[in-house]
Amino acid sequence: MMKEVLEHILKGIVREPDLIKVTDTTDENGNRVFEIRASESDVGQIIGKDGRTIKSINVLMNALAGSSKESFILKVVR
Amino acid sequence: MKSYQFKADSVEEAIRLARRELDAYEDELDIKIIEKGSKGFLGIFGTKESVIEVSLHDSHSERKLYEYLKGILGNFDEEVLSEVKLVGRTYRVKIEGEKISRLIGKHGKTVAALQHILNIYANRMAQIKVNVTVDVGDYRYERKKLVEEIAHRTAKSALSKKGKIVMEPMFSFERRLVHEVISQYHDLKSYSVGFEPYRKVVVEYSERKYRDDRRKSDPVRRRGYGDAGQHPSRQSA
Repeated sequence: MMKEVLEHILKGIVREPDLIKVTDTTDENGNRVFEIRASESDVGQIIGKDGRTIKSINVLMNALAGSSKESFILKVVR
Repeated sequence: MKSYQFKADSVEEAIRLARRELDAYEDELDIKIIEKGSKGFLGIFGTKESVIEVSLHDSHSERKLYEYLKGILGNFDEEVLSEVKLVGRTYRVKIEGEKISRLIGKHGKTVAALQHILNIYANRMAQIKVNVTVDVGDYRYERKKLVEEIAHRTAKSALSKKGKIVMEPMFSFERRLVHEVISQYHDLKSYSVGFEPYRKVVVEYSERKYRDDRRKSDPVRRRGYGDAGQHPSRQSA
């Protein structure tokens, strides 16, 4: 469910929404990790100045996920 | 306003094409028929394509932003009502609901995050620079009153100390409010220092300040500021 929200958010802010791919995994420490793949020219937009945009997305996702206290790790990969 | 041209065999077809290309309803389009077109003789001689020129109403971008927001909040488990209105170049987004404190976050962190993302979305749609402000419940109104109160208090202590006070870091709209409050004080000036997100307002005692008030303006005091209409304390928020 969170994966779909993340995709929706990302597709709205990039130039090439069709190239957005998100994979949902769990790392060795049990954290939920979302790997984001995007067109090279969109990577900067997703991260934002000083990482502001990717941080905003993370804050928003944590708020939407609610009380479960789960926190996400977002990784942008080329 | 940006306009788009569409060509097709008939006007109806051109409108259908425009709606599909621009993802708009017919009532969100301003349609101007440039060339009605003609089927010609037996559909062979003298056929002319229909040409229309369309531009988008505000309601189109309001709806798009609303739908984008809904896609984000659709996963929020509490029921929320939202509304988007374009005023000038600012999209005012209002979100209301019973248990939406989670959407506000600590110190309004979540609202700020949402606002940032909607800003990018809106500017991707628009041809000119636009702004998005998000208001969740009464948060912004309450915060505005609080920030103004703090600004007045800071002003008073700067006046009594005849010195300089560096305030806590604030969001840009809060800093703007502080600058507005400080500009009401005769002997104070304010400016912002530092980098986001730790940018903060400095309130400083400065006797040289004049006000845009004819009755009180003193030509001696004005010297040195160049443009008389320019307020010395008005620096970027």
